[in-house]
Amino acid sequence: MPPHMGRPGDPLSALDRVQKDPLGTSAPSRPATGVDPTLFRVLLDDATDPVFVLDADGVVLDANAAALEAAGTGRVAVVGAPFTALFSGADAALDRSWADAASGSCRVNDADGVRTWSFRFRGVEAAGRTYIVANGRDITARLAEEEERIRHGEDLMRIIKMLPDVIFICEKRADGKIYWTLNEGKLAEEFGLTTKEIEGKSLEELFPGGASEYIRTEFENAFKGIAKEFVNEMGGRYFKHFPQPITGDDGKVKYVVGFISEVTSLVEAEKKIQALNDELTDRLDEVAAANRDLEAFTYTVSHDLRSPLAALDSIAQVVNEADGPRLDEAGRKRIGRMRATIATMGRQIEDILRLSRAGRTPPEREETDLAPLAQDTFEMLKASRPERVVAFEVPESLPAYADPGQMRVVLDNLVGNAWKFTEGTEDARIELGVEETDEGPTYYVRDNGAGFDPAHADALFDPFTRLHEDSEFKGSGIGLATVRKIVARHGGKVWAEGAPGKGATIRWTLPRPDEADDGDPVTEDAA
Amino acid sequence: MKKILVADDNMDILESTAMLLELRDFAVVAVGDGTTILETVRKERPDAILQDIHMPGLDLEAHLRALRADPDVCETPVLLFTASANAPEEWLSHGADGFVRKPFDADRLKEVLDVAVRDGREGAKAGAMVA
Repeated sequence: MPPHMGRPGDPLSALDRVQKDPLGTSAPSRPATGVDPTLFRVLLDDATDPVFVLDADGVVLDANAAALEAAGTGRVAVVGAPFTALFSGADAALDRSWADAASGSCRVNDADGVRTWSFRFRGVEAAGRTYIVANGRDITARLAEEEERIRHGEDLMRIIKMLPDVIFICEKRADGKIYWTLNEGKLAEEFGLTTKEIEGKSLEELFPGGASEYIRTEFENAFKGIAKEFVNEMGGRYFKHFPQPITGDDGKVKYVVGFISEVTSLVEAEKKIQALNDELTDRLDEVAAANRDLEAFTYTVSHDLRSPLAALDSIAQVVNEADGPRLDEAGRKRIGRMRATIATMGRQIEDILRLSRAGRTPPEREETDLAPLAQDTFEMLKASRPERVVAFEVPESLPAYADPGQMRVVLDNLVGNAWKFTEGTEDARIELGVEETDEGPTYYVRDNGAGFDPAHADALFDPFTRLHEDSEFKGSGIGLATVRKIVARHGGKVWAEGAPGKGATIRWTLPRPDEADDGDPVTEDAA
Repeated sequence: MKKILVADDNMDILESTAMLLELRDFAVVAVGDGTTILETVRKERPDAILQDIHMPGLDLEAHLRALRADPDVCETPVLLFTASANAPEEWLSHGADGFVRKPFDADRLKEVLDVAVRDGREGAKAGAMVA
C-alpha cells in the first residue's frame, strides 16, 4: 500500500479526498492510488454502521447511508446540521467540549427514542484541518439484553433475600482468610450478617473465639474440595450448612457456594426422639427383666417341680402294681407319701406367690423389733430338727422402721437360709445384728455354713437362681428374690457377702422414718 | 436274679424305683447317700447302676473316674437319672453310659436295664434316654 494512504487498514485515512468532495458527487480526480475515491464512497455507504464526518465544532460535513438512516432524515438536512441536533440525548452526552469528545464516545437515542446508538469519536488531522469521525453502532438490542440481565439479577437477589435460608458465596483471599462475597436470606438479615454487613470481614472476625474453630475447619475442608454438610449451634439454635466447592480452570477451588438452613426444630425433634428412645429402652429393660423373671419361673416349673412330680408318678406306679385293687395299711402310707409330695409342690407354689406378693404390696411401716421375729423363726426351725445343734446369736432388741409382716417373711427366708446352709457344718452358728453406716442402720444375718461363690453375689437375688443343687440344699430359689423385693419396697437395699465354705452374710438397709419413702417398684429389679 | 444299684437322695424316688424294679424281678440295692455308692458297688457287685446326677456330697466326675479305674467294677454299666429335658451329654465322656429321664415308665426302664445287664456298657449305651 502506498505511504500516503495512511496506516494500513484505516478506511478513514482517505478523508482528505472526502473533504475535497464532501458530497462525493463530483467526478473523481485521477486517483493517486490504484483505487478510485468513488469506491470509498460506495464502501462507506454499504457499511451497516453509521459514520458521520464532523468538523471541529461538531457540524456534520458528510454522512454515509447508514448514518442518514440513523438520523432519520436526508442528506440535505443532515449536512450542515450540528451532530447534537440529530439525536436526542446527545447534548447531555456531549456536555464536554468537542475537543474532548474527539477522543471519546457517547450514547444517543434516535428522535423517537426507540433505538440507541453508541458513537465513538475520533479526531483526524487532514490537510491542516481537524475532522471528527463519529463511528456509530446500534446497541438497542444489546441494551435490552443487558437490562434484562440486570433485572433478572435483581429479581434473583430479591428472591434470595426472601428465602428463609441463607445463600452464600465465599472465597479465600491472598491473606489466606475466608471472606464472604454473598450472604443473603432472612436468616442473614436476622443475624445482621448480610453481604453488606459482613463485607471485608474474614471468618475469624465474624465468628470470634473457639466457636469459629469448627466452622473454619469445615470451610477449610470445603476449600480443599471436600463438600460436607455440617451443623453448628448459635444461641441455642441449629444451622445446617451445605457448602459446595466451585473449581476454576486450574482445578483449584475458586470459591465455595452453598446454603444454610435452620434445623433447630429438626434437632429438637431428634432430641425428643432420642429421649423417647431412651425411655423406650428403659421400658424394654424393665420388660426384659420381667421376662427374665418369667423365664426363670418357667424353668422352675419345668425343672424343680418335675422332681416331685416324678416321685408322685413312681409312687403311683408302685401303688398300682404292688397293692393292686386293695388298699391296706401300707397302701394308705403310700398314699400319704403322695400327699406329702403334693404338699412339696404346694410349698413351692406358695413361695412363688409370696415373691409376687412382695412386689405388689406396699409396706405398712411402724417401729418394729426384728429380734423377736428372728427368734420365732429360729425356734420353729429348731422344732423341726431338734437334733441339730446350731448356735443362734441375736441382740435383745433390733429396732427397725418396717412392715412387721413383711419383716417376718424376710427373716424367715434369711434365718431359714442360714439354717439350711449350715447343715453339716461343725459348730454351726447364726448371728443377727445391726451396724450404723452411712446408709443408715444396716442389718445382717451371718452364718458359717456352705457360703457361695462371690462372683454370683448379685445373681443370688435373682428369682429362681440356685447356687446349690436341690439335693444339697432344698429350696425354690426365690427366697432372696422375695427379700430383695420387700427391702426395695422399704427403700432399702440388700446384698450378700461370702465365699465357698466360709459362710454367708446377708446385709440389708432399712431407712429411718425421715428418709423412708415408698421404695421404687420399677427399679427394684435393677438393684 | 440280676442286681441293680439304685442311688437317689430323693427317698420317694429311691424307694418307689426300688419297688418297681423288684416287682420286675430285679434284686435292688438302694443307696440314698451319694458318698457310699462306690463302696457299695465294690461290695455288692451290681449288674448295672442307676443313679441320680446330683447327690449331696457326691462329685460325680471323680466318682465315675474312680469307678472306671477300678478293674473289679469298671465294666459296670452306669445310667444317670435326670429330670432335665436336655441330657447333659458331657457325662458320657466322663464314664456314664446313658440317661434315664424322670419321670419314667417302669416297663420301659426294665427293658433298658435288661439290655444293659445282658450286654454290659454297650447295651446301656444303646438304651440311652428312656422316654
